[in-house]
Amino acid sequence: MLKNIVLLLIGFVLATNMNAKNMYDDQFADFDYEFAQQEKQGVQESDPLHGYNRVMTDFNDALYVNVYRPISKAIDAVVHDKIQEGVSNMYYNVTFPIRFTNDILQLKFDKAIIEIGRFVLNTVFGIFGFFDVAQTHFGLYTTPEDFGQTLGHYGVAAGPHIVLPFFGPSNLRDTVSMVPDAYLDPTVYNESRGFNVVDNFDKSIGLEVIEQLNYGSMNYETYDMLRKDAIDLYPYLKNIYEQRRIKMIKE
Amino acid sequence: MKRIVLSFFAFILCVTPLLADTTTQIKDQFNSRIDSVIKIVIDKSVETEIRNQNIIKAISPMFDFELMAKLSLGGKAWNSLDAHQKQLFVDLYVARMKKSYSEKLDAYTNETIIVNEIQMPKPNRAVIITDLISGDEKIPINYKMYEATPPKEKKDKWLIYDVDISGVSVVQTDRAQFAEVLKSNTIEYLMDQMNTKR
Repeated sequence: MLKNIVLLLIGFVLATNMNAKNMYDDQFADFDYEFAQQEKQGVQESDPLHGYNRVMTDFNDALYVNVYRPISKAIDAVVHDKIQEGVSNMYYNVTFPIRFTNDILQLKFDKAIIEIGRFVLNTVFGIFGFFDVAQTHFGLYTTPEDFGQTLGHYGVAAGPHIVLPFFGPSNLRDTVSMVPDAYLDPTVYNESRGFNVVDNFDKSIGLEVIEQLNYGSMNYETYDMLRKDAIDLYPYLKNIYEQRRIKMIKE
Repeated sequence: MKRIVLSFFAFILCVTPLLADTTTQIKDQFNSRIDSVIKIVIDKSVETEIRNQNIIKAISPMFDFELMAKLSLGGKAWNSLDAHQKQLFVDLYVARMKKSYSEKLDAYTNETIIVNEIQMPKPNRAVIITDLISGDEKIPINYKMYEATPPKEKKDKWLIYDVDISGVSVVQTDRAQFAEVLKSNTIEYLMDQMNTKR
């Protein structure tokens, strides 16, 4: 009896060892398969707007290097970091209806409650959202939701990748989703709606420009780094965008 | 028979804590490496060039750069290379990674790294879930590791083969852009680009 068990054990150990050896030889194939699988469920292979996308990527990049970056850098040099952060906080606070509505649409009620709490705290105690007291004093934060993520949450595919002028990488689903999100955005003037931060459309464009430049003044170094790491900018940015959106939809 | 059953249970009891210990082991190994890197980074008395070299030396045992290079190119393209091209590609990739890493460290001010948890999707795979805290901002960074069997020379037992920054995998973005370049160009062209971008 004992002998049988010992033999069985030896056999088992040998088998696992052989298995381990095989695994080592095939390890690269194993890893390669892992990444190929991830690719399948993520970024789409077909790229019908490929030609246009490449041209628009170059256009955006040139615009960035020659216009956006120098202005952003100049703002960063003049405006104090705390003010940049405050402006960014105010904008984020006032766009609360987008995040709240999309939380509700995805039935993420816990996130919706956090958004309400943040909006009330930051508006009242954070001087119209200039200070993010909800996060700094109450540790209250949740990842933002938008309509593109709502569609993704219910299984709508990303569709073809589209590089938008000025805005950069997007896809069909997320581009279409900009319309309902803009409707919920109080900084985008809309007569038919009760809440507007400004009283005409020109001013809301001005507001958008200020927000974009402020964003640039805080983040231009990040894009600098991305540009440097790219061997081929278009597929690089495309892949980063799509991976990022997949993660945001899961959150 | 009873004795055998008993010793079997004793064996299981001995092995279980060993498995639980793996995550602690990985965490300790990771934390001590990060600590030693941060020590070098914050010491501004050393010249930048030498400092960066020291950093690379300190982090090299954590990474399997060679595997990352192969994975970035993808199995099909990798297998089509001859031995000389393979070596050249790995060298270029490693140089590029090291340069990109030390550039990012140059921008380092007083960020801290917090290890949140360690997941083990398979017995020989681990993911270290961390946050890079910079002021009010929190950037999630996940380090994907595997257990090298047998261990590699001058390398840690658990090696990083991919890094996810805010959900974006470094290896996957490289796979995407390398594949795109290779669609309409030769491997020589790709390596040339990697060389000039260095």
